[in-house]
Amino acid sequence: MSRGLQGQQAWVVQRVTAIYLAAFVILAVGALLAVPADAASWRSLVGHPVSLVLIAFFYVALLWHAWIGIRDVFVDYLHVFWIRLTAYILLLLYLAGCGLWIAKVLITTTLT
Amino acid sequence: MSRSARPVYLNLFKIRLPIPGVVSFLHRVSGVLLVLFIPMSILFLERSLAGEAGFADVASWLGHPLGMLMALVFLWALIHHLFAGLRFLLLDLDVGMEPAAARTTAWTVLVAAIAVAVLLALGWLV
Repeated sequence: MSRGLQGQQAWVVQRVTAIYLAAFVILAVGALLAVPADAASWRSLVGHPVSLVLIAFFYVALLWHAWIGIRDVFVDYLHVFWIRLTAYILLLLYLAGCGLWIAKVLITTTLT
Repeated sequence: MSRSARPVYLNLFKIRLPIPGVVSFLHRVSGVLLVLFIPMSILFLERSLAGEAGFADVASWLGHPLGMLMALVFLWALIHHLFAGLRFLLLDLDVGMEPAAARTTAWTVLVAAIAVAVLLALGWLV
């Protein structure tokens, strides 16, 4: 892909992920208000295969959306190249750490 | 560097941001807050699934005054980002582009986000 198309690609990804995130949040708030507040009900709601897949997609969309959004914030405020580069690397490590952690949680929940 | 040759000194106290600008800025602020809340969301999910004891831990965190305050901040950031984001998606589709309509929807987002966040917090925690 040429460099000129990268910004446009990010623009599209930001909106596609936004639509999924919005739909998930509305669904999740509804589910949270509907489910009885006890450990067993909560566990069976989150542990359902459909929930696990929706949550996995949610975190993929969330981390991708966060990467593009925070990168835009850095571009606006961090004008010194090496500071911006350092910030990108720290952001990437932060988001990757979150990704590994949620993967571990979802896999553990699936297996137990 | 050519950048340093551009003497652009803006006095931020002399700029009155129009209300769509306030909503746009808060969309950014709430987005940054939500990114900072990601590890907490995973921690809460992990603990809440760790049996009766883990579930009780999460309930007690949310029952603590500091937990309630953070839950309120999180809910505001989430709802504001959601509503302002949906408004931006509609603007992308050329819906609500007229200045008067844009101001009305901006006020709606600003007020509705606070109202829904407080209502959800009350419904959840009380």
